Amino acid sequence: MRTKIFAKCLTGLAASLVLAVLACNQGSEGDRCNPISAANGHDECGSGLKCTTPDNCPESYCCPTDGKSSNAFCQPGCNGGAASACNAGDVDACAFACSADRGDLSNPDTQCGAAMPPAEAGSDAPAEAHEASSEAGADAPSDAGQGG
Amino acid sequence: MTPASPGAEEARQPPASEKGAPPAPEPAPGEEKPAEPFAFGDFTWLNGASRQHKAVLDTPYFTPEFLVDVNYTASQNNPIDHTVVGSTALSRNNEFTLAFLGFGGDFHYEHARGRLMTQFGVRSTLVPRNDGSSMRGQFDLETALRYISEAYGGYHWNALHGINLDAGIFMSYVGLFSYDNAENWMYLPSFTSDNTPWFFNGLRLQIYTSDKLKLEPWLINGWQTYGKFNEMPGFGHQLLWRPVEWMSVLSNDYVGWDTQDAPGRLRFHSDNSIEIRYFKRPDLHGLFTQAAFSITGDIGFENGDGVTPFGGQHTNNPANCTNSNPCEQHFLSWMAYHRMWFWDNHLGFTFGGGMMNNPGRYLVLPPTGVATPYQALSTDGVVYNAPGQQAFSLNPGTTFNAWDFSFGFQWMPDELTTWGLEFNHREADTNYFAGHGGVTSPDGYITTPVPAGWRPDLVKTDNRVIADLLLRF
Repeated sequence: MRTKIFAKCLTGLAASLVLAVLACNQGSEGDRCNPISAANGHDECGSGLKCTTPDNCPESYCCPTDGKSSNAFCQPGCNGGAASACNAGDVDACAFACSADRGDLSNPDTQCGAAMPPAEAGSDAPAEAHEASSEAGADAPSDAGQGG
Repeated sequence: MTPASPGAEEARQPPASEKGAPPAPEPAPGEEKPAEPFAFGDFTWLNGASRQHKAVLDTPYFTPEFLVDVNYTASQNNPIDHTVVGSTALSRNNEFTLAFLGFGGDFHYEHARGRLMTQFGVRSTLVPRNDGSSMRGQFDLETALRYISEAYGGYHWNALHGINLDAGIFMSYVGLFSYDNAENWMYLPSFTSDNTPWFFNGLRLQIYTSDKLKLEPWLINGWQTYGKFNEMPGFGHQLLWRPVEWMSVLSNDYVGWDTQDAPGRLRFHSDNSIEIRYFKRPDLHGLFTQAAFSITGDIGFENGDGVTPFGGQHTNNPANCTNSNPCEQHFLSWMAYHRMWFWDNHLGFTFGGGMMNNPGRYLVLPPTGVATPYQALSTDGVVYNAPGQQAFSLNPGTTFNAWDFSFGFQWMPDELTTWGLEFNHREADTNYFAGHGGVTSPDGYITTPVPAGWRPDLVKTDNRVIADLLLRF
């Protein structure tokens, strides 16, 4: 009898374990999403949200359909995305990044100056500066300050 | 990256004094034949050791072996590129994955001995990619050796309780878990095991001084490397002591020079484990038959050429790490697991976890895709591409702290088959694990153009379930 109860408990625990992780979860505001499947009619974002590529942003995020959001990833430049694009040579993104994300640029004096085209500046930028900005990454401004 | 457990090998192979020496000469009358190493007890309970009591397909000259490892893992992050970041056991999400398929075995005739184990499945790319030494020079060592997990030849002496000298690629013993998942209590080990070597390339001398103690020095190319990063080889040794059936003590130590273009940077690592079985009641045949635990602690560091352990600065710019103002670079970790067996040992339940602290990130498994910090070869093998701007930094001056816990079941209907189901939570203090956006491209395919500045989606936590089937003949 005890063995059967134990077996049932184990089975239940295993099943709930699988369900807990596999449960279908739709994207929340500011979560990454797949813009190509969204364009094909398979938007994975939750209710009231849609897969959006903000202006001057190289990625796509779940953002409100009405365009009103306080989430940093739903804003133009998507929380450092413009600077990342500028660092990679996207000239159009540099104009925005110089005004909004100057601190995330690898070489702001050059990238935001008129003397050198931003694309060239980006390709010459030191790798470690890029790494620093990438590690700050999607949602971790605290990591940017890990260096001493 | 991890180690194949010592126990694995001890259980897998014929006793040392028999390896390569059948038929052994009969001892003279009155002369006592040395006891076979570790044959005095049943060590199939150990984490990282075979639970088979005998080789199924054994012959006098060749003991064949056939291994299958299939998993299906699902992460709560559900990355759109189906890519797992930060493991040498898992590679693909939401897919049936043939992680490892190997066939081979042990050759033994008189004093000659050898072992071959092939390596097919995703691990043939997942593990070799962590070896930067193969980027040195020509002939593409990664491709040449990726389908071999073990390959060595050796010689056996009937001295003491057996002495073996082997040359080739052999399993590393740093850490507790085995490279063969069929020998482990859990499928996905903690960082202490996952981030330490799986194999070595070089020489090893196994000296069984008694039936309870093995001493094993190594002369190797480096820390899980096919080649050498610098001019000096790596040195190490293992000590395996099993004084009684219910206890096993393992210690591995390593010294080497494993950083590209930094011949003055010495790496030291010490790995120490104890496993104790504190309960055994086979007569119960039912609910609860056995219980054991393992504790592993590692300490290591790198010193020289701009880094120093247990002190030093942290910086985002590795150029600031100088000999006069070095950056901190060491590895501290532990892991512990508890295992219970039920129903005549047909069901196992394990829980455990661990932590790691690795400033300098020299043992952090590098993310892949757009986040890879490695230079990549083009497909024609000639053009080298610099790491992308979004590379996850493994440079001196960085920091990395992580922890994990897991629990899971293993159903073992016989000694050859294991069905596993487990939950694993991993967490780091920096964005490291694959998030929903993945590390490949906007839709997860490598054929989709990546916009300039596209950032891989790395996050701090990863919750996943892992189902697996492990077969071992």
